[in-house]
Amino acid sequence: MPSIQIKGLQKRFGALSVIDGLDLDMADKEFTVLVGPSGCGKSTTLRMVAGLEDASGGEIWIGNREVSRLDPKDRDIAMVFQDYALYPHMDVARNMSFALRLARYPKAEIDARVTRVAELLSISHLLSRKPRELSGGQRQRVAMGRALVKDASVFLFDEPLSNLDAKLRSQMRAELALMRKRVEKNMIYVTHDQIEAMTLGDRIVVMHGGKIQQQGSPSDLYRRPANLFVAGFIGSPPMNVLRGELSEAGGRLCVRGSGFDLALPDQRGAALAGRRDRAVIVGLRPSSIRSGATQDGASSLSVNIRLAEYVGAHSVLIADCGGEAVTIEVNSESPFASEGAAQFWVEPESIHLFDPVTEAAI
Amino acid sequence: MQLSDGFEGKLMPAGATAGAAVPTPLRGTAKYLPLRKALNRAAPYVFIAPAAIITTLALAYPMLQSVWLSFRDWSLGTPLGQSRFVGLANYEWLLHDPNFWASAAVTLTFAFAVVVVEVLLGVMLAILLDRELRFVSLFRTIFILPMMVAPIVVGLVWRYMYNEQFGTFAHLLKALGFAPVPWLSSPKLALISVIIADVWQWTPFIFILSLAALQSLPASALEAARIDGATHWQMVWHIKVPLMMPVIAVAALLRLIDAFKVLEVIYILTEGGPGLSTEIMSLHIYKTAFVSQQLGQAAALSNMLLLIVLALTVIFAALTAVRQRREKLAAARR
Repeated sequence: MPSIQIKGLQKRFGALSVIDGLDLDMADKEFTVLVGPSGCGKSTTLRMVAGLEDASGGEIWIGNREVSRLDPKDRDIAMVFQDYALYPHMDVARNMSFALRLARYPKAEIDARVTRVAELLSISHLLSRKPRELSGGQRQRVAMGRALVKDASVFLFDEPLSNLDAKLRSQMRAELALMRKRVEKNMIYVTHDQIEAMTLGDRIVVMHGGKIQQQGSPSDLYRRPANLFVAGFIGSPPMNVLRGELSEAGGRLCVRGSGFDLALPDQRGAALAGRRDRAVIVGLRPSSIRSGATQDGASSLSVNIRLAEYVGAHSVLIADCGGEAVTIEVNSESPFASEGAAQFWVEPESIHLFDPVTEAAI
Repeated sequence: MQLSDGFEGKLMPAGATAGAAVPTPLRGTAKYLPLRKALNRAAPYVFIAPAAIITTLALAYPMLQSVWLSFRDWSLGTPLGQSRFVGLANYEWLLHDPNFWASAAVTLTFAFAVVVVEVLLGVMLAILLDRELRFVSLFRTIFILPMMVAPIVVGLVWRYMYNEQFGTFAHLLKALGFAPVPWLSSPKLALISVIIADVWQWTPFIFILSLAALQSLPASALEAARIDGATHWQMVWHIKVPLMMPVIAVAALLRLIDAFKVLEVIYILTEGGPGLSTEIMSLHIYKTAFVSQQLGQAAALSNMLLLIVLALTVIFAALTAVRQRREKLAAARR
């Protein structure tokens, strides 16, 4: 099984440069998720790997072959499309076997493979149906079945769940996660949904404006976002962003702004030495904000709660801190004020700081 | 409507006579309500009326007139009042008229031949020109041009081209050293020549509809086929053509109906000759009416033609209905 390497990939439409020099290494059997807002170039990148879109420059290596000039059929790939892209005039079995029939596999082998994959995806009872006789979730399974039957070495998914409703989407997401444990292949998965990215990916590649913002494991991205964009994109509800100033009072490092005065861990002192009394952007995860006040009063976040959204096990408070909107996640079991002024504090280790100009993490 | 109804009801307690207990402005509303209701109900009919009247005048009246006429013996140039009722005599005549059967055979041969050739050529052209090439839109326009030419002109142009002494084809064949071909004067060739002219004019019709169908095919299904390893021609054969089928079927039916009624081009090219070799039904009707001057018989003939075309349309509608019901059932199985 080969690894996939993308070197200096470019895509231009006329004068418009969509992707400008993208480099990406994917290890063998890795599940890579390209995630980003619409228009960030993630789908274009995937389509160039598939060969549906010509690269304007750069190289794409699958194993030890440079494939960027090859036809899609010669790249040893299978792809699942957003709108399923089933052949409307063929029944499920023929949809799944199309590639094998074109490649003139013996009929017995085709039948055996279709049967095996249909069982894997629990669609055996649908084999004689036409796509229009299937529900959205069933079509999605058939589309995956069609990709699996090919037994290609690389699987490409282009927003495969975004046409499903919320409930079905989370169900299919779980099934995908299970499937990928059984099918050990290179997979590249494109989505704009950061939850899909977090739950499915071994490696997440966050893209924005045709460039890779950061790549790494889900927890890497969540714990150590490289810049403000990644910080705001990964995590739900999104990270709170406040404007503040670094200062040192009585030998203690803290970050202050209107409505908050938060202590920072002492070990960050060295890294922040040059930024004392300068503006910074403070990032606070809604889940790292704690109710009440610290004993020594060294860390405080004063907010005015406007709304409490009860979600179940936890509740999301929509609040106002010095004129900026702040969301806070609290445990529904513990008592919390659902309106009015309230005190919170933040664990020093979970405070993110960003440069106000470059937006890079400090 | 409903709102004002409720309003009216509340203000009028049971037993109260309308008018007496109600203040004057509301009484006015109550008085006009039935009229407004009636107008509302009439609205759809008012909107349909112009179309219905035109259809009746332009379609139903002549059709019924032609049916009525087919039961009468009426010579051209005599007053309609002098025509005689002859019952089914005109129909009996045409069933025993060898010319009718000959023209029916010519019509069927012509219609099916042109439709088959036009569909094959039109679909092939569409597939060839369904790509982004330089000048492709120019080619598309050129291919559509014949359809825009008036049939009379098409007839004249082809008559000139087919001319055995100084026609375009005669020159070409002579230059290449071949003997002249009696395009329109040989009973064997005339029908083929006529078919060629019709194919030239109407292939573009199939072509543009096929092209439109091709360009509205689901792009991702075609991409999926590319990834599944289909070559260009495998994609055409396994994906494009099957998906175009509904459009091709409708286009072919429209052409078939039209081909049964064709007149001008053949009239100009051969006038039905030599012998009866290109005398299609509409030409036979024309000759019966204006050469033999038998309007009743001509009416009977045109009703037969109408029946044939109607039968084709009904068969097609039935097929469509069956397919739709199947699709509905399919949707219900989900």
